[in-house]
Amino acid sequence: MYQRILATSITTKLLLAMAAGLVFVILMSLLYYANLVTIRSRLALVESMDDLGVAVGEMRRAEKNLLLYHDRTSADELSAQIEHTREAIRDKAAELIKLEGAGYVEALEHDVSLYAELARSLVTGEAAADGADRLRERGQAVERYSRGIVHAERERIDRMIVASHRTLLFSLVAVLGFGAAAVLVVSRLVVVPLRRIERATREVSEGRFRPIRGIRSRDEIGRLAIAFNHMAERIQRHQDELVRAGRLASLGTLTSGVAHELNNPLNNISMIAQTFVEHYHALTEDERVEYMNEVDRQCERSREIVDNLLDFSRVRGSERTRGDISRLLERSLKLVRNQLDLGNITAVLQTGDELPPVLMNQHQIEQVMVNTFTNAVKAMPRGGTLRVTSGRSADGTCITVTVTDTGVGIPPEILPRIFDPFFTTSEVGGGTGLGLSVSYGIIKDHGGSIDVTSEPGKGSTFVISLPIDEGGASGDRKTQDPGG
Amino acid sequence: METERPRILVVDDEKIVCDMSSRCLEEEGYDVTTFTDSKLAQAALENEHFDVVITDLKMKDVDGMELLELTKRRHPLTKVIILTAFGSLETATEAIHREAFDYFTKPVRIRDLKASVRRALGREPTK
Repeated sequence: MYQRILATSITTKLLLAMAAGLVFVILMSLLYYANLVTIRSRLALVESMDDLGVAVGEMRRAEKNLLLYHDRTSADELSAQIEHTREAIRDKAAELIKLEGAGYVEALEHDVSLYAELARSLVTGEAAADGADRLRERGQAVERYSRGIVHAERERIDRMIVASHRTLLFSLVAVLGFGAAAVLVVSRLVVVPLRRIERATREVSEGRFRPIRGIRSRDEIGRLAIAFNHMAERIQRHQDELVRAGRLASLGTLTSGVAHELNNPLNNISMIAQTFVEHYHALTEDERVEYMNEVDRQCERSREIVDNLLDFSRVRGSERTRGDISRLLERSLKLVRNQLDLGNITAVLQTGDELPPVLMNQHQIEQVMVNTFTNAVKAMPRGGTLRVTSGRSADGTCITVTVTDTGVGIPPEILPRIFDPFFTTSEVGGGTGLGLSVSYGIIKDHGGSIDVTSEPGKGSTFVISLPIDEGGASGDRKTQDPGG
Repeated sequence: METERPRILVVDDEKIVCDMSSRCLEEEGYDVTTFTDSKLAQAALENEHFDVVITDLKMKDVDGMELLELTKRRHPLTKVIILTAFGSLETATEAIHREAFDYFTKPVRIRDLKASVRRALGREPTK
């Protein structure tokens, strides 16, 4: 049943809810209407009973006259009224039986017969001495009896009216309750999942491509969630590809720098070797040793360059570890050192004292830094100063890295678009336009932020914030982790 | 006799390049001056005459193109040989355009460098 409810569409759910409400209201109205009909028919009965009451009343009036005047006219009048009452009883017999049962009618008729007998014996003079009193008593009994039925019936009608008031009140409360329940159900079925989707959409717009969990219904919203998750998955995959492409792009930039850097020690080794061979006999023992030591040093220098490049290009797992941002900055600067030297750029690194560790994929963050530095180098074709500082944010929750160049700057009209994938300018050139969007994706994925301010002609400043790993910081102190 | 020896200036921020070329070129009978600091080389070029200048292209402070330009302006007859660790068609074209005598990409063969210097001094027929 629950499964089937999950599968129905929102429209069907709403229609079902409305239909249920409608059925309830109709049932309540019918009940109320039936009550009203009963009350009306009972009221008609009571009114018709009044005829009987009037007849009995007339009979008692004639009785009074008879007892007062003891004349023939009064006697005739009473017997006529008795007959009239009997007719009224016969007329209303059906209703009386319906109201009070057949026994009641018989008892009433019996009472009236006894009354008639007493009246007749009084007129004929056959009556006992207390004949008048007995007639009066019997008359009172018939009157009470006939009135009692009307009185009881009125009470019953009163009860019915009170009951139908209660029914009305109850149905009002029930309708209100049903409405409230419907609002709750609709909000559970529609509003809550919509809010979840809204939240997920916001996260995606901030670069965190997480699927929506916990929406199990298969209605429009369920299908929307499935489509959303599908989209998030594809964007995530696309983002991963961009990260890989960005890695290759920065690797390409680094490789050309490395080729240059590597050619220098190679040239040194080559020149030493050529001189060594050519002047072998002229060289002293010490000089020969010194030449070979120099060759060894140049080999070591080459190996360092290659190691750096390998370290950068190696694709590692996506696991995040606690790391020191200042050491990462030193490493990243080393990777672009050659570009800085060739571009006549002075690099100034100011690292904050004892900064707490950051939980990060060190490789990805290194890539972000290399990208940012490479962009700064490109922005300073005539040389300049690259200033890199690390420190704590004002509120103390983040580590901030500020990268300032003294380059050409970014025109204000393109500033908002520089983090878009594939956005590039021909002036900046050389890149694939992947670097900044990839950096943005990586930093957002780390729960951080990347912001830029720029003044054309004066330079740009990139501020990268990464949340401090609080739990890790305390753990670090306890374990005295040498890596922290 | 000192004054008759051709004067060669070698500028490269790699000390080994300076040392090795100096050793090999001195053996050829040249008077070799070397600088690893291109600013000092620039100052020397302002004040002194050299027959041949051998310079690296990419250096801190003053790069090889600037030294080439300065040499040609101050001493139009001085020959300039360019060395570079990262050769490209653009830099080679620019060097030739600025009347560089020769252009080598590292690693350099000392034999070729010596031959180029000899040609620059007119001691060997040009290729």
